[in-house]
Amino acid sequence: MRAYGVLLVLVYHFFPAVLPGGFVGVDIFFVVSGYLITSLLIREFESSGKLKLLDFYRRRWRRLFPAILVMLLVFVALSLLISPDFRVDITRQSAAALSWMTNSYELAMGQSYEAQLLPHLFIHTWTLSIEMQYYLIWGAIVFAVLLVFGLVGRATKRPGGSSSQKSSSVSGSQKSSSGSGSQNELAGTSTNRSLLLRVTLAAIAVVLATISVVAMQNAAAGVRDPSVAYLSTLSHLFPLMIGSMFACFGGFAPYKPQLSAPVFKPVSLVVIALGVATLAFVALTFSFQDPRTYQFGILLVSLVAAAILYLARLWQDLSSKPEWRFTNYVGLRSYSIYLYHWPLMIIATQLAQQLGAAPAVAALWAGAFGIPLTFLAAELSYRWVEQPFRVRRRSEREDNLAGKHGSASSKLTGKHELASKLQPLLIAKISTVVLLCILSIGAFMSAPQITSIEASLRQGAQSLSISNIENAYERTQQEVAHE
Amino acid sequence: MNKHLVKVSWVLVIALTLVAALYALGVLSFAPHVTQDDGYGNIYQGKMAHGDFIGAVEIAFADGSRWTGELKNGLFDGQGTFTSKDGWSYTGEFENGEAVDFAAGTFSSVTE
Repeated sequence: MRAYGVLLVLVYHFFPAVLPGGFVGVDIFFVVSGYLITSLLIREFESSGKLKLLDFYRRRWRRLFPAILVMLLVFVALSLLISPDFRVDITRQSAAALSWMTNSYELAMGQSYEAQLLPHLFIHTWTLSIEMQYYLIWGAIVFAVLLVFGLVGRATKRPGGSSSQKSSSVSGSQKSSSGSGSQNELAGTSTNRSLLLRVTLAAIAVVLATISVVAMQNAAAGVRDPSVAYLSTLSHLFPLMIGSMFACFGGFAPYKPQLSAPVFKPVSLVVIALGVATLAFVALTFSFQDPRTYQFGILLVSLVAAAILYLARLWQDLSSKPEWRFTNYVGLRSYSIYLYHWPLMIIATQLAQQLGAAPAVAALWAGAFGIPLTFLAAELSYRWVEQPFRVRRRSEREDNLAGKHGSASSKLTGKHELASKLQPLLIAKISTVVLLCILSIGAFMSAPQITSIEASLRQGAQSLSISNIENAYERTQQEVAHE
Repeated sequence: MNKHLVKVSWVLVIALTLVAALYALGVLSFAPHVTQDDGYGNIYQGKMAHGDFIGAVEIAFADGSRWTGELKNGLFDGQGTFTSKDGWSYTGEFENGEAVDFAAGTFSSVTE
């Protein structure tokens, strides 16, 4: 789903005439994020009986921040190649992106999302801002629900699965019981707790999604530019909430056996086919300015995407078939593809225009060079920025385990061997980052305060002011001469 | 890594993120005194934040005239002094690029 979402956005940005409603790819992204994050939160509670909220926030930050930081360094440096107008206010744009505030920043600037004379290089990070804000809010809500119902720290057990690490912390009455009866009782209690959490979260998600849908419809009603409805966190929260709601009903072990019913496969296939057709219809026929987009378009896409995702996850549970390699490849790199495609498109278009290409031809050049470069940049970002952080986390965990069971000397030897192999690559990476930092500082320092268009308007306004005062002076002089 | 160092790092990350957010939203602004050439030979001096001059600005226009005062949408606005390229100067109240009441202002003739 991530792959389809990012491909829709990619085509929409590079060739808007081909896919005028391709921006709904972002909403597919949101639904997937809402689904996965809620699934992770629920799974953490169900497997360990608790939720480490700060760890969750740390994991999310570490997942998103390194790649966005490197992307900013790359494109602030590359902005030196194009008109200085694109560097106006680039410090604030960068600060907004790194603090997950791009959507609020763009709203404060009164910037239109689509109709821009000089598009901001990092406006596309508005989606990441909403995602991170969602992580903060939703994580806190899940934590609060666990606290309110007194579920934190209590034992839980995956029904039908192995008991949790925290099963020893169950209440005394449960401990004193023995035999299969007590185990069933324990499993039943855990199932009830899990069900209570899921139903409560689903209800909260429905309420928040409803408020958000109404907010979007109100904000977009009767306005020429729907940017406020599109960029505001409140009005664009519902795709994430819809994903969250569906996640509450996914992977709930007691209901899994029913999926083997013979009717499941054909019905789900029909639903998925209809869903894909609906997504294609919206992407091909809706547009950013179209009021239908905000009345029901984004809502429809979100519901359909969530239904497809839900069914696809169930299929994954039932089938051992691996995902299609291309979508798997794109899906894994979707974050980096999304990060790099927009600024690459702007820079490629500007460079083509600087070389004398007409705007229409420049857009074609941007597509021809920008899309392959996006995939190349995404591959590098995935390998050198995203993966190392994930692998490091994993290796830290493995090191901790090895520390408990293995010998310290073998660990050290292995690390030294690895270090000597990685040194040239490490030096190359550090040199690249240092170079990017130097170029970025240069770009920040040389950024003009206003665009050339604003300078021209200001020049005109001041010429008018001077002309007015000089005319007033002339009139006064003439009156004095007459007297 | 030392646990305390990790905690301090995270506190630093949160603090920097908050500062960046406040700066991005315009709540926190640094207003350095800048000297700026607008590309038309006009030199601006004043405190600038987020692309706009804050308070009075001094402009030395390319034709030799000068303005000391505030600007609104690029037009002379508020109390200010205009010195023409011919040497006369006028101090008074301006609104939308025009003297509100020319007679009420202070006028100084050419000083050779």
